[in-house]
Amino acid sequence: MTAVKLSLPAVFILTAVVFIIATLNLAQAQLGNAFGPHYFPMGASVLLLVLSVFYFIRSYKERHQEHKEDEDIQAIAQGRTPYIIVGTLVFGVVYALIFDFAGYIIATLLYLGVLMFIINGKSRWLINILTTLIFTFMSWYIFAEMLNISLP
Amino acid sequence: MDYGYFIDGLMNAITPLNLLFVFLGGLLGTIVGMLPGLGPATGVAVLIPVTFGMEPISAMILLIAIYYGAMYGGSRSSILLNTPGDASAIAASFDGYPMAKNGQAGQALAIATIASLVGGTVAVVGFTFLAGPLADFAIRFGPAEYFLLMLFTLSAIVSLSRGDMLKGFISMLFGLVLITIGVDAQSSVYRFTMGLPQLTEGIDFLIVIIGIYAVGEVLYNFIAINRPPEKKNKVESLWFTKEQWKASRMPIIRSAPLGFLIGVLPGAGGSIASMLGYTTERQLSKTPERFGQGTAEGVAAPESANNSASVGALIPLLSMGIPGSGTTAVLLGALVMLGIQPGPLLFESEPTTIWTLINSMFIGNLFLVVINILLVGLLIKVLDTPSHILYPLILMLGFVGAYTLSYSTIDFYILLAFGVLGLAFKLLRFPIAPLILALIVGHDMEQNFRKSLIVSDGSPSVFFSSPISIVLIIMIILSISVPFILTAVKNNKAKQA
Repeated sequence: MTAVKLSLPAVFILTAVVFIIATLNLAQAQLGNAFGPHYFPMGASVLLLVLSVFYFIRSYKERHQEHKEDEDIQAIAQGRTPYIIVGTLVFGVVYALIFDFAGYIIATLLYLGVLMFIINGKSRWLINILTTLIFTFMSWYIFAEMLNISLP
Repeated sequence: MDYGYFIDGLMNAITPLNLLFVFLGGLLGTIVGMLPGLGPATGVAVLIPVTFGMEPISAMILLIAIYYGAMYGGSRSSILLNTPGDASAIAASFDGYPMAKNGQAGQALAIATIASLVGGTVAVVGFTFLAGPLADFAIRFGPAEYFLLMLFTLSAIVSLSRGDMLKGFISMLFGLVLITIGVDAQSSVYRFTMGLPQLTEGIDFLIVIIGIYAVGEVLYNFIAINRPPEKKNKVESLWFTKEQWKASRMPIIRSAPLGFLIGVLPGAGGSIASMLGYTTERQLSKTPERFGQGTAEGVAAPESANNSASVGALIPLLSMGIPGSGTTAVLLGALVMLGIQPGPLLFESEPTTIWTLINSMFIGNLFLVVINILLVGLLIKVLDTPSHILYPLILMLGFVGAYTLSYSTIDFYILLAFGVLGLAFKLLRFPIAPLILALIVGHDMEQNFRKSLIVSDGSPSVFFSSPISIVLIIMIILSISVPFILTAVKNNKAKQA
C-alpha cells in the first residue's frame, strides 16, 4: 500500500527533476530576452519539486495511519480487477499497434471483443459478441459515413 | 440590450436543425449525467467528436446543451440510487434518496426538474444582463491583468476544491509543467520535444482530457464492476403535491440567484452552490430537523442552485475566456478546437452567436423539463444499463475520439498513459480540476506573463501598476490564505470547547 501511495509523488518528483535539467539545457532565444523561454518551465518545475518532496515526506511519515483512499487501493488488487485493468491497458497498446494496418473495423472488433471477454468472462459470450459487433459497425457508420471522418 | 441581435439570435436558435441539436444535447447530457460515476466533464469530453463537421454555432449549442443537460441528469441517480453522477449532485441525494425510499421518487424527480428549470432560467436572464458588461470590462485587461486573473482562477480552484490544498497545488503545477512542451510561441525555441515531431505543437489537451476523464474514470470504475448493483427505487406518482410545492417554491427562488453568483466566481461552481443552497435553506427552515429525512425543499434548493451555477459559470468562460471549473475548462477546450475563441472580442465581433446561444439556453431549459418529466420512465431505464457493457463502450468512444482529433495512433499511447494517471489521481484523491484548468489556461498564462515583462522592460512592477491588478493580487492572497485561517479558527474553537 505504501508503495502505491508513494508512486504518484515519486512520478511528480521525477518529472520535476527531468524538466529542471532539460530547462537548464534549453537553447537561448534569438529574439528578445535570451532566457524568456526558460522562466516559466523553471519556476513551475522548481515549485512542483518542492511541493512533491514535501508531500512525499508527509505520505511516508503517515504511511501507517488510516486514510480515506485505503479502501480503494486495497480493492484494486482484489478479485479480477487487476487483470481487467492490466488487460485493458496491454491490449490497448496492441490496439494502437495494429490499428493502422488492420483497419478500424478489424482492430476494433478484436480489441472490444477481447475487452468484453476479459470483463465479463466466457459465460456471457453472446452478449459479448453482440455488443462488439453492434458497437463496431454502428460507430464506424456514425463516424465514417455520417460525420465523414476518415478511419483506416 | 440590442434587440436586432436578440431577434437574429432567436431566429438562429429556432431553426429546425439548431432545435434538434438543443434537444439532442439535452437528452445526451441527461443520459451521461445520470450514469453513476460519469460526470458532465466526461460527457462533454467523450462527445466532442460528434460535433466534427458541424457549423461552429450548432456545435457550440450542442456542447453547451450536453453540459447543462448533464446537470439535470446528475440528480436522477442521486435520487434513485443514492449515487451522484457528479460532485454537484451530492446535495440532491441528502433528501432525494430518503424521499425515494419513502415511495416519493417521482415527486423528488419532478421537484428537482422544476427547481432546475427555475434555477437555469433565472441564470440565463442573469447571463443576458451580466455577460455583456463583463466582456466590456474585460477589454480593459492587459497581459498583466490576464496573467493575474488566470493565477487567481487557478488558486481559487485549488483552495475551493474540498480536501488537501497541497495535492491541489501539485496537480496544478504538474499541468503547468506539461504545457511548456512544444515550440515556444514567442521565440520559436523547441522545448522538451525530445526530437519528436508529434510534440512540436505540445501535448493536445483534448487527448489528455479524454485520457483522464474517459479512460481514467472507466479504469477506476472497474474496481466496483463486480459489486452487486444498487437497488433502484420505483417511480410511481410523477407529480408533487400542493404542500410540497408550497414548501419548495421559496427555497427554489432564493437558491437560484445564490447559485448564479457562486457560479460566476472562478473555482466555485455547482458543488459549492448546491451545498450552500441546501445548508442555507436548512438554516432558514422552521423545521430544520426534517432535512435529511426526505423533504421536498431539501431537493429543490440544491438543484435550483446547481443549475443556476452551471449557467453562471458560462459567463467568465464566454466573456473573458476564463473557465471556472474542470467541466467548463473541457468546454473551453472544445470551443477553441471548433474555432470559437471565447473572450471579450467574441461579444463585439459575433454578437449574433452569443444571442443565438442565450436563446438556445432558454429553449434548452424548456426541452429539459419535457425530457425529464415526460420521458422519465424511459430515461430511468438507462440506469439499468449494466456497467460491464457501458464501460468498454465509453473506453472505445475515447479511442475513436482521440483518433479523430489528429488521425495518429501515437495519441492512443498518450491516451492510455493519461488514463493511468487519471486512475492514480482518483485512487490517491488528487483533484483533477486544477490539472485540467492548468492545461487549458497555462499556455496563455505564460504568454501573458512574458508579454507583461516585455512591456515593462523586465520590471515586475507591471503586475502592481493598475487598480485591477491590485484587486486581483488581493484576491489571490485571500484565496490561498482563507482556508488556512478557517482551519486555524476551527482548531481554536475546538480547543476552547
